[in-house]
Amino acid sequence: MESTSALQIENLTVQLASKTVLQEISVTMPRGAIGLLGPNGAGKSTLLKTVMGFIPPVKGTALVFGYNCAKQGAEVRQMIGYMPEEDTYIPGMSAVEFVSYCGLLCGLPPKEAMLRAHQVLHYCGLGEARYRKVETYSTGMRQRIKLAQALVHDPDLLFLDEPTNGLDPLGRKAMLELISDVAHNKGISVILSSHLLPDVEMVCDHVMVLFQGKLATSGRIQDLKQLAQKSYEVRIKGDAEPFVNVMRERGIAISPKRDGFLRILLTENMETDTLFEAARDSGTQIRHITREEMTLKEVFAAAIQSTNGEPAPGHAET
Amino acid sequence: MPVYEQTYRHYEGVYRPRTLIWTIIASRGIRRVWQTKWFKMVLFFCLAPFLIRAIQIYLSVNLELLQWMGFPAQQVEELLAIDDLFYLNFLQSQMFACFLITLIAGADLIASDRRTKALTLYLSKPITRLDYLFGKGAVALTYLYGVTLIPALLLMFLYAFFHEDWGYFWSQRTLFLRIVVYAHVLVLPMVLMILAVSSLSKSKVNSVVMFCVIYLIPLALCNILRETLDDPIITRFIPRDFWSLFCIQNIWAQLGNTVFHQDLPYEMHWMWYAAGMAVVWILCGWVLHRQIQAVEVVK
Repeated sequence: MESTSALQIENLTVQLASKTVLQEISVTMPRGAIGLLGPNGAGKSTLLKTVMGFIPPVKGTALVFGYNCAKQGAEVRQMIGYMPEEDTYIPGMSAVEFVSYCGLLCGLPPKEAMLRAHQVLHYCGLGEARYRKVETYSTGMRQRIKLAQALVHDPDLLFLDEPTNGLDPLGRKAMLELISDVAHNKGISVILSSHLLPDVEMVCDHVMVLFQGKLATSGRIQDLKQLAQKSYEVRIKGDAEPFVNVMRERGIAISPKRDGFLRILLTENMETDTLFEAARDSGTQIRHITREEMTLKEVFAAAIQSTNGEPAPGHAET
Repeated sequence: MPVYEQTYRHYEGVYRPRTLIWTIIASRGIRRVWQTKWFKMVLFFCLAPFLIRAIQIYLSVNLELLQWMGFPAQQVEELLAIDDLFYLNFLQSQMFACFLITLIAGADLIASDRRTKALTLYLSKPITRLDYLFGKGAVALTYLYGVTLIPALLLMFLYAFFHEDWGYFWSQRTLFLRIVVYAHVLVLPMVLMILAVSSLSKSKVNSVVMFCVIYLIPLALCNILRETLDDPIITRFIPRDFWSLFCIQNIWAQLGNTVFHQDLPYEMHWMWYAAGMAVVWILCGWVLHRQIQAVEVVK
């Protein structure tokens, strides 16, 4: 039942304690590194837990590589490695025993489980500390162990729920580099759930933005940054005031930036010809013109705003 | 390539069948309990009745030894009779041992996982809640078998050995079945109750206290109610033995005597006690169904 999509969600609705936490979410995500963004309480963790089969949906379906999460839970979890947000471990074990035990639970034979436990712990940067009890570990080390137990059975898809929680800046950078290596060099798809945009931007190629249980936007990060508003950075030779006046007369948003540059926002039906016409009519020369990309922060903010009222600006084709 | 030089590699081997996963949980739990402080001492103490019964079987073969020591022959023969009642008494005498073993082996089975939020980890693997419960239940069940079913069957073996009667197992096959059935009547509710209690708490101490309460308080209450409500006006509507239904020890006594075809301690039909046992099972199952979840929903 191989599928090219890592995740296929259709009309998914989830309720917890009589409250609708996820509302009619429909999205298809390809293999690769996918960011699951949203403010606290948006439903990110609930979405992951629903796909894992922990929470039955009220309506809709979720497929992971073609397997139905509600009906084929064991098959889905065989393919998934889950790194939970909470501090969780099985007491009374050293790191290598713990990771090996997790491998056994996933069906690895005993010798292979122990061998792979050592491999993934080494890969995750836990050297000799692997023989210490997990209870004695620092936060950073526990995050690494959580990642190691998610990787031990060689999953096809990793669910990482706030993987940089509680880490200092250096630890965060190291964790993100590890995740990026897993996603881009080891052929394992990753769904990274986080409220930290820089984390997602560093690791992921695609993004899903949730807000108040609804899908605000989704698509390739690069495509989302270039969508909807066409923002150009322009520099005029000499006095820019006549050019600015002409643009404002034509109802085009224009604002000064630093170093003599101007930011111009064209609407969807306008092209760069508009700028050159305005320059000709005002008797000025355009010396520099570059299309500006929105930052992920701006994409996120725009998506949140549109969920509150207007149609979502970015449903890029994936 | 040495392990320390290896980076992440994909796994090309096979995965074991999912039906065996519960044995992983069970074997780890059994080893962990075995390493518990004082456990081996408690286990030895719990097997003392088995040793006494084994000696009794030995003496039953060597009656002339006791007669030589001056004990009257007929009385000795009656005292050392190895019959169905002998095995029933042995199993019933192990109730306290079961209580102790259940507390030590079972109180922290699920509570520790709830304390460290390991339930989410377990259930994120390709195992079902039943696998988890079977694995955890097998820990307590293994040690409970060790003080009930296995010693009882060993006593049968010892009888056959000392009497040199290897046809004993075949000739006493109904006894064999009764021992197996009654041992399970004793241990399975114990396992379910301790799992249910353990799933309600994040602390081993709380689990122990809760189990003691549900095990001991009904026994005291039932006896009090039987005595205080033993009035002809009340017993016209509610039989005196009705209150014995609310105590697991009384249920075991009635069902045990039924299985071994002995005189029943209570007048009510044994089906009522079987129903009481079923209620215990259903209640425990309901608690476990609600508590064994990968996600804790805070209402």
